[in-house]
Amino acid sequence: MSLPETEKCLAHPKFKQLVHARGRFSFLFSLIITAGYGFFVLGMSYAPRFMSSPIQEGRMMTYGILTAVLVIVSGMVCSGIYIWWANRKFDVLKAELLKELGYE
Amino acid sequence: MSKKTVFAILATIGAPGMAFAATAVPLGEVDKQPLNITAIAMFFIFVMATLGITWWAARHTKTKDDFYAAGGGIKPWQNGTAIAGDFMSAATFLGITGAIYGFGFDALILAVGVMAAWPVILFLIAERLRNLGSYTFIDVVSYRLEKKPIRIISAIGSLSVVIFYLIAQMVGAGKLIQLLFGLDYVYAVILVSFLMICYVSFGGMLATTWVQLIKAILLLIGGTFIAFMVMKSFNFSFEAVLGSATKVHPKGNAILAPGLWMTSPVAIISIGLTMMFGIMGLPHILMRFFTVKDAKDARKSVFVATTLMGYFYILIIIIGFGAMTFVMGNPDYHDAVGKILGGGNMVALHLTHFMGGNLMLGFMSAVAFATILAVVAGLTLAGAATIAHDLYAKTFKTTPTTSVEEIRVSRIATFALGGISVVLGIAFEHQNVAFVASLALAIAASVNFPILIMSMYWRGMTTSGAVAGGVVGLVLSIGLIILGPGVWVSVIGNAEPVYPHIYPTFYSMPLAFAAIWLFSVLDKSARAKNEIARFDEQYVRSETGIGISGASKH
Repeated sequence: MSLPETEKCLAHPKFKQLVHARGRFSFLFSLIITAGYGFFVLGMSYAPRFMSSPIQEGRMMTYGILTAVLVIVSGMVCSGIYIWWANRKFDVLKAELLKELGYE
Repeated sequence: MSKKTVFAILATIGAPGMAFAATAVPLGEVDKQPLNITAIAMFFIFVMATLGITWWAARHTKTKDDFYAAGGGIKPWQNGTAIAGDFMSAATFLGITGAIYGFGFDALILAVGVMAAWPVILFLIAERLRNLGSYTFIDVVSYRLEKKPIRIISAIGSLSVVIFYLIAQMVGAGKLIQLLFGLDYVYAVILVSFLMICYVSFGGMLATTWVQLIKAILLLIGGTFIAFMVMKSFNFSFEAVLGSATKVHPKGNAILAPGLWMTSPVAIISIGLTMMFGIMGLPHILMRFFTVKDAKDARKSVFVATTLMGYFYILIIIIGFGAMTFVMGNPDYHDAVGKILGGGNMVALHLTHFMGGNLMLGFMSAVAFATILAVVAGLTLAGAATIAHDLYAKTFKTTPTTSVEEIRVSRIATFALGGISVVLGIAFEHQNVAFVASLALAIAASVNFPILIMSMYWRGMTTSGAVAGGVVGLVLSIGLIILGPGVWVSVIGNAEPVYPHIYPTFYSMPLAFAAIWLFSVLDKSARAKNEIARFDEQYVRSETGIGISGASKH
């Protein structure tokens, strides 16, 4: 790809829209996952008493185990939402951009 | 069959990849025992089926594109299942279950770390990687940097990971097959290496993908069965599973809380970083994103892989805690002095036997072995691609290479890696291999991952920065492991480790990032300016796929 083509694409409003939207989306989701995992790791390291307390009086399930399960489940859920969004929004936007730039 | 010996051998397979070296039994001598007919029958069917696939795949493998990336023609669900198959190794199934059984809560970090890594790979890496590279992640990091130094340092990182992982898997596989067939260890290792060379050198990525796919499905079926039986025994109440476990386990309620395995924050954070970021730097995993036709399919495959693995890790948690009730205190699975047969890593198979008898045990033993074959095949292919594509064709050869020539070099590299793994497999026969595999993940987190992520996201990275970061990550990760308990105490025999933790990542990964930043910022050369200027072009391509050629033409 030559420099003028790069410039043209960078300046295209749809490219900006695309990058902005996807950047925000993937950053937000990465943050959710990393925060959940970070909470788990740091909780284990610095707040073991909280992690070992049951979520309800008399229950076996502790906050720690609950966090572990939630991180696993949220990984699957966030991936699902991202895919759903990317297939519907991002790919459409990208196709429009490529068409307007004359690639397809 | 003699369960005792089967478990003693299988124990060694669970060890790789996990840090609980202390619980893994030393690899003792193996008595050749009456054979488990189910396991052998299953194993033969698997080997025959996979060799058949290899024969079929070989007829479809003509160009280097076919060889490295299956012509980019793998469907997303197939690739996703294969990624899961590549990742859900015997170490995961046997090792994490064993760790949960032994330490309870603390071991969950091994499962949670994986499930934190995969979604982030999806959000930040998969699509951009597919848009920028053609066969290996090294294509991506060298996109705008000076090819020679960057390919060499990344290839060293990549090959170190591949070889350390191979050793760990090889030793486990050798021990298992030695038991099942009554073969000598040396012949057993040669047999594994022979099968691996067959799959990879004839069938390339296509055969490797199908081997991984089949094995993933078998493992999911087995895992589902065991977890279902556990839940059924407790009327489908996880609360009851935990309650019963705390009554049986000598540590009681402590298994539901942190602290039985690790208490030092540095140790916990190190293993946390290693799990999450090591996965993002594994060359054989990253290579799988190039087997699909475009970024969209790469995205879909990671979703399939993440979902399957999330499901599998939930099964593992049920199996781990469930095993406490059925295996702990059960005299069938303990020797005269009350030690668990085969060590902590055999718990999943004891539970399999309890729930499904010898038939199910034979099935799962065969699956464990199939798992190893699939993983070593994937590793060898990644190693061969690094040698033939990154080093031979793109770095040291001054004239352009033809497809035929590159495939030939890949096959030579496959044979060489097969040979090396036999030699090292024999050399490491009596070593505890757990630290070897932890080294692989730590190197991936400290070398491959920082270079890869910075090359994609930081405009300012230059060749000097990338090389400096790679060297710092490599030296620190290997150095601290040697000074740590895994080598300094267990292998060299000193009383106290110089570095007290198994994983070096707490220091090595951040310092690798720091070195990348520092040496990039200090680099004021014309080359550095040019590299920074080329970021825009890379950025456009990584987001849109404009300018892709090579692997995507189908």
